[in-house]
Amino acid sequence: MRTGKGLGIVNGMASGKLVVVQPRTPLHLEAEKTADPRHELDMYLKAREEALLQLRLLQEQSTATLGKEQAAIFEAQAMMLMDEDFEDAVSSLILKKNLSATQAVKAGGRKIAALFLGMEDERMRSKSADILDLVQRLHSILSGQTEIPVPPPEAFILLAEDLSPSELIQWRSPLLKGIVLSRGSAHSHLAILAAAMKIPCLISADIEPDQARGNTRIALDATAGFFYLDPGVEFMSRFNQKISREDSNGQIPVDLRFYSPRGEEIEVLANIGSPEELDPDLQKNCQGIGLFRSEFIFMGRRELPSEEEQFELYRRLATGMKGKKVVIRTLDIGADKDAPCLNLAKEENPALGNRGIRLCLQRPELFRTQLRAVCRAAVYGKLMLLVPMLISVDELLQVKRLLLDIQQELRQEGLEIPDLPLGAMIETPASVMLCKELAAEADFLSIGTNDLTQYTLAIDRQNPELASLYQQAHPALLRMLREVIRAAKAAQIPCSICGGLAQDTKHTAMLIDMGFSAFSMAPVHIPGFKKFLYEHYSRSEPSL
Amino acid sequence: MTSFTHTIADPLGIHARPAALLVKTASAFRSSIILRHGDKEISAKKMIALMSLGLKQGDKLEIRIEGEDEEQAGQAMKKILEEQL
Repeated sequence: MRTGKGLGIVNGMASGKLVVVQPRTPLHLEAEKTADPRHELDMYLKAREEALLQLRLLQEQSTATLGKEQAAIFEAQAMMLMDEDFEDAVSSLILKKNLSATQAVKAGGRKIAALFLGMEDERMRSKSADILDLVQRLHSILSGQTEIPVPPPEAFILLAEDLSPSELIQWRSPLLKGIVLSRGSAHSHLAILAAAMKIPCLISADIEPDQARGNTRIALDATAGFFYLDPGVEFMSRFNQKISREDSNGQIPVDLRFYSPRGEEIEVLANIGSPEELDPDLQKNCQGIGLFRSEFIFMGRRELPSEEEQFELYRRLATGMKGKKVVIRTLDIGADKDAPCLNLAKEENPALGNRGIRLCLQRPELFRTQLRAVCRAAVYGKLMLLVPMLISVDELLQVKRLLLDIQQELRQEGLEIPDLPLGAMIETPASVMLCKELAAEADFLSIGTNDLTQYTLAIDRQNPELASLYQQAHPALLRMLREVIRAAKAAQIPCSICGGLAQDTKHTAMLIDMGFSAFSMAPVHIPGFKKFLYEHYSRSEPSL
Repeated sequence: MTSFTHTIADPLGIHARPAALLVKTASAFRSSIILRHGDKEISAKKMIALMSLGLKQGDKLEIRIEGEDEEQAGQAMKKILEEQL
């Protein structure tokens, strides 16, 4: 067995037969001249028509199965294919230098790809892959090769130096379980597609594809960043057991409750961003929505959502959860989000800018509309309100006053308005330092570990070069979590944890020991998390 | 001639979907539509040239439109830039 390392960009585990995808024919130039440039030009234009058809087909297929955003990759490729600059580059090489259509496409494409390769930004450099993908497509058509790969009749994992989006689509099959690339980029179109297809993917793997033998077996743990070539039978069977544990939640009854050694019930909650994510399975499989990100309703639109529209949405959430709690986080948006309706000024540093509660308090009319809608919907279920980005007790008090004012106003309008628990989100270092005071004013606390890590470690969580330093279980963070849970216990209010740390079962036992008992995570992590609880915690009410 | 400026707001800069939309929109008009960023000027009807500007969040873009349907073209370009980029 050979163990290798890499960087997981789509998490998950998989095993199967290794399929090595050889790098495409290197684009070296042979002096292949033609005596009939007109004919070659005609060949090129015909091949381009065919390539366009293929791309349209790929676009249609991926719109149906993956969605518009992913399909746009092929639309953009089609536009590059038909681009005048590309055509000029190729046709002038044919007509002026008498190159064959194939050679002209290679040379012209390489010239254009070089345009992107010279750029500073890695996202931009990865665009050259799109051009090379087009060149390969044209080349295959011109040389009459219609290389359609034949996937093996069993589960398989692809190993390649790099893959283009169209290569991936060609290999697509329910049996394709994983991708290992010796190069690759986290920002490539391939990365987007692999994530959309939920195929575990490892990049920068320390293996040379041309040295690997096909027909061997491979086990891939993209979450941990490891792969195992030619593992023994025993290793493979243990690994496969682990996979089936990861993806089957079947044996765990959905209504099973778990308890910490102290006898507290461990709550498993879901983070969601739109009511579409709320399905009956999720409703049964969690004890509530620990975080509803209300900003989605403001994004990508020019008109502000009305009170009625928001009311309808919150009502749907409240009724959909059938009495289980739903924590609605008030608008948490800043200049980094696409929300034309808010007309936000562009900022140098949006993570430290006018966002979250700061923005809401500056625009009372905007905030009032949202609060009125939530207050009105609260009668349909168990809604709670969570205030993001707090840095002072005063901000929370301002929200509290505004909320009381609105509740009174609504009651005067003759509506039945139940009390609405108001929570403080702990996600800035300032809010940690003030957690005792905040706990004294709030009805509950919720720790957002993603932002708290970013602000505490002073690391932009979107900077890939700092990804290894961005550690949510950093000792500084753990000390903060301990302070916050102590403050919540002293004030006798609940405190949940959401963000990356909540779903990471490597740290769950430690967090439970610290006193945490409510974990909120993306629905996709709930089965694995419950599996962990199932294996390690008591499942019946302990006798105290 | 009509002209205006736009600052790229999309954190990903110019990527596949908005770029395709922009080129499609620009190509629907007869007027010449020129995008200027720094010292580079390109036609908004050309995908590769647009990509080669390497536009990132915060980059300033000057849009210059000239031709018989410049008014409608200006409105359409403004809309697409504001909503998508």
